Amino acid sequence: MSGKGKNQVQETSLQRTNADIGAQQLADFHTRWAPFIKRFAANTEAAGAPDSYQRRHATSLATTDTAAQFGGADEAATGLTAARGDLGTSKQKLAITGMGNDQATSAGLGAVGADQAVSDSTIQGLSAVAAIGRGEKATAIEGMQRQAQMSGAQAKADAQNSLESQMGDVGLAGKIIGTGAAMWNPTASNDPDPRAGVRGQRGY
Amino acid sequence: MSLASIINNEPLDKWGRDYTRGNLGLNGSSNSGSTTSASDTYAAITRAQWNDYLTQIGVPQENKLIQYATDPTVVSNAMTEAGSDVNDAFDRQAGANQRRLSGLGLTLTPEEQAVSDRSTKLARSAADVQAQNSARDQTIARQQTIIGNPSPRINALGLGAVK
Repeated sequence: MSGKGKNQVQETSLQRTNADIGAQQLADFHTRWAPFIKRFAANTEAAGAPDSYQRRHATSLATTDTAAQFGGADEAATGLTAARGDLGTSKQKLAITGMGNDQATSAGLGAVGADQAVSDSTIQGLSAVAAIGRGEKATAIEGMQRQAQMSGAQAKADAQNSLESQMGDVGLAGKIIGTGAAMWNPTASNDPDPRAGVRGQRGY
Repeated sequence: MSLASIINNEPLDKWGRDYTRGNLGLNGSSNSGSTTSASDTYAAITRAQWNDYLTQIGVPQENKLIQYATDPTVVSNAMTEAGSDVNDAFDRQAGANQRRLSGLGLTLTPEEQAVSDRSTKLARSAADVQAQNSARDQTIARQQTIIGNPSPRINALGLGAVK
């Protein structure tokens, strides 16, 4: 059983403080950051939906920009046509429709680009949130490792407790056996220790 | 001035949390002065973070990304959307062309109309193909990037094939 023996791992003041601060950090994250991140994730996801407001807004802006650019070019073309005396000719009429085709092409591709930009933004946003989540997962895993280390330390202490307990029993058993042997052969303990040598024999 | 006196003089931070009493633990609990061990607190933090990752910030977004990266309809939908954008633009432009000509007091003859229509069809088809190719390439590149395999931007090299 853990934490019962004399070798129970005592948590240091630093460990307790770290745990307390960790809890406060997580509470702070839940209070301040998590709602913001979840809202951001929801908005990002909504923006990426087909026909979302962001998509319509982006494509609309692209179309408006194109119209503004081509509006100026159209005026300039009419001025040039008038200067050349081509007003009302087929050349002018087909130039107008031709520029219209160019404008439609530009507006269409601009809308596609805007649409793709929204998709890019959506994926980047989701990736950012996922990265935050991965960071939290990494922290959680780190926490698990720390738990494992603490558990490992406790297991080591438990093992030490167990070892000492067993060794203590063995030692006690040895003492009992030794005592029994001494009782059975009371002179044995009075024999000089052969390892003591001459000096030991002589007491110095 | 000691740290303790500074803390005691400013017991609340800007969010009004009392950080001098250690009462900001998980679920409002504290391990300061309580019997909760650091080990228990770490375990609770780990569980909370893992739960956050599974249910709120992490896995839900990863699943969206995985779905986007692996769903074959994503590419076809993007191409359809691109074609729709271009065709919408040409549809709008037809009316604008008509208003522009009318504003100048001009009317297309049947022959001019035929030439204009043919030119418009060609332009529409070319733009449609270009838009769809572009959307397809960009979407595939985005998918590849999600799964960790950023592909070269072929369009940027001017090598995009019209299919």
